[in-house]
Amino acid sequence: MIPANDASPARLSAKLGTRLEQSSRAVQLLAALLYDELGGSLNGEGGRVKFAALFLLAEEKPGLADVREAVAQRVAPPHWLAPSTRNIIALGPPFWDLLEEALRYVQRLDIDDGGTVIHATALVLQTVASHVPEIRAANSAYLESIVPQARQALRTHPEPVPAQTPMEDVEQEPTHARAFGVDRAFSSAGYRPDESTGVLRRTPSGILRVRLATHRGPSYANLRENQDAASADAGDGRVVFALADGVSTSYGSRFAAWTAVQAAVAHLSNHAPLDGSEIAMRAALREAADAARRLVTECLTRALANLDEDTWNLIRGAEPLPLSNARLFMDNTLKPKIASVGPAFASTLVAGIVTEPRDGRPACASVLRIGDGAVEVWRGADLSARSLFEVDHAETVISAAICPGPVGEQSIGSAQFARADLDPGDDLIVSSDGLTRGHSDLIITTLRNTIPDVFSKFDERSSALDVLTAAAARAEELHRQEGEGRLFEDNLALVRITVRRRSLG
Amino acid sequence: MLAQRITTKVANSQSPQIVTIVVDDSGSMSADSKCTQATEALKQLVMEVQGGNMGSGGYRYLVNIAKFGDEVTPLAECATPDTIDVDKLNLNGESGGTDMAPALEWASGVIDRSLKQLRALPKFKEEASPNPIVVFFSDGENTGPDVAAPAQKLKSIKMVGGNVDVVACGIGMTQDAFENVMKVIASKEELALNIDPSELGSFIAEVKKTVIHGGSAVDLVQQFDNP
Repeated sequence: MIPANDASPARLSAKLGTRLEQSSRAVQLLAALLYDELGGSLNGEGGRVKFAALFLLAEEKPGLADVREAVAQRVAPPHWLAPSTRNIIALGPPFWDLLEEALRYVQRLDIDDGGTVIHATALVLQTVASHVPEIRAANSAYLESIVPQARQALRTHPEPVPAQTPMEDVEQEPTHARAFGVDRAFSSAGYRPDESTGVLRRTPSGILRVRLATHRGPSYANLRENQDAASADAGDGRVVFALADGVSTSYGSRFAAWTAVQAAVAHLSNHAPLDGSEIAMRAALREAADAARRLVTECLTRALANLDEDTWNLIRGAEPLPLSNARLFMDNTLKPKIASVGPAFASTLVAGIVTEPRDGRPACASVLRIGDGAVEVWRGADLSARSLFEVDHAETVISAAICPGPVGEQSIGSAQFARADLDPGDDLIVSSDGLTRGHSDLIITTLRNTIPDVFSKFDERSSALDVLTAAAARAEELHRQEGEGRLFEDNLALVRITVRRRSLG
Repeated sequence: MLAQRITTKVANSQSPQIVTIVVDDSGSMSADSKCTQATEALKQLVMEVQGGNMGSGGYRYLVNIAKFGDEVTPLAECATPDTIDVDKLNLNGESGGTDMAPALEWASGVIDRSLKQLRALPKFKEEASPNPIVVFFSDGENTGPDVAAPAQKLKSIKMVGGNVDVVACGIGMTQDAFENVMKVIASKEELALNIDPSELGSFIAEVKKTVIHGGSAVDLVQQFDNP
């Protein structure tokens, strides 16, 4: 029997590819790139990670499409070997990050099978986590020695310029079509990667990386569902993102928040300037917000015209209100008769464009806010942070929202804007108001103080979803201990965009 | 000018408020568009309460609504807001006479049951809950038994840190009927008022604001001129 975390040649047959120096050249080069890029983030995992069965999986030679699908879903397919699946579950985000990184190189290294990708990943894990120090040292020395050759191989096969974004291969949510319309809004409402797995995107150069997630929030908040939504897309030279917080007193707000972020991101992906002036960026962001408003309006109109059981179930979320009442709320939104009843399908919106450094200018974030939400810049150089918008930590009533009807139209006109330069090592942190509740500090400061262990690994071992899950758990713990403590008392959403210190490949 | 707030209690999922509306649906209510006003205002009240409750795993209110004439027709009993079908809240002035005593008995019964329901909640903080509020509307003279006993029973319901506030709202009532009936029904004399029929919709709208924003029954009544 093979101990799960002892993939040393002495214990596991060399036939299974556990010897780095005997592996194929493609495996070695890919492992070298992965080790060079992500090895540092895996250090310290020695003895804790379980990876041996990944060598067995590599021998099974899964298809490349199979691996891509697994990465997209962050779930091992059911037909993969059970021990491998257990390893993968135990490994969690580091494994997926390695695989995701590996998939970026396959075309340029002429790799066309998933077994090579898994094999290289397993060797990198062996290099950082083998129980045998000699193997770790030998592997490490070998991989470091061939990094220049691996980089040279990449230069020989320059990054292709595809029709869409190269990140499509690692998309964890449906690729944005040229237009995100009503049909896609309804068809995509059933599965939410932002709350199921979290999302990771990178620009082709690797300079910008975005991680995002949403969460229902601490259980003591007694919320029926997650009404926050977030989405992002990484294209050539820029990341676009959107985060929405469904208005809790608005019917269909969970559906509306998801629709709004998808519409805004799709619009920005397709129409935002790559390197525009501040005025051009503001115009693009305002148009994206208006695209979101128009789409939620179209969805509401479609739903009212055909409010059958299936449509109703998609938009109602966990709200048990009778269908006849739902129709009244929706009717009153398009044709307001009762002024005191707020619009249905309402959400806040924070949307933004972050461009890579270009022509000597630093990376730059342009952000729009409608309603509330927090946007902070975290400086990597001195770990200082500042907020781009004023935040009221106690206010729960909003005066502007993305929604159908006159309130939505007025809100587009009253959007707020902010712009900030970002240096390598800096982060842009975006959240809904949930993470601002119960304290008066910056979000980044509060997260660092509240969940120091998880936050210190954020973007390395911890995904955005890990951070939010830990934040909610800690808030619950504090509430139990202190009774009156009401930290993070709402749905939670977090987007982190990192400007990396150097490019890849 | 608004009276000074006498309570700071606000309904939430750990301290919900019991809201009870009892509306006269006798034949005379069909005059002066009173039924139309009351129906519209009642629907708006329920929709706002429902809106305020959306997204929450608990509920801020337990709602009881009935119309009465010769007999009582419950429209909602111990109902969480999300279970009330607004389409069924209709007043048409076709319920016959104005038999007030059974309506008051009904109110006592549903408030008792509502309190039991709340006390069964694991995290219920009774002392923090706003007083249960009953708003009783009628435009005519009582055609049934004397209201004193059932009114007293209703007003006698106690809860930790509070009692039931009964607002008795006459709709263009004669002075005698108002003095002899509505002041008896109200839990305090100042909680009885007699409004012009044209003010009915506005008054129910104020009931809605009082409930949603945590105002007091006294605040509510003092916004309208008493005779």
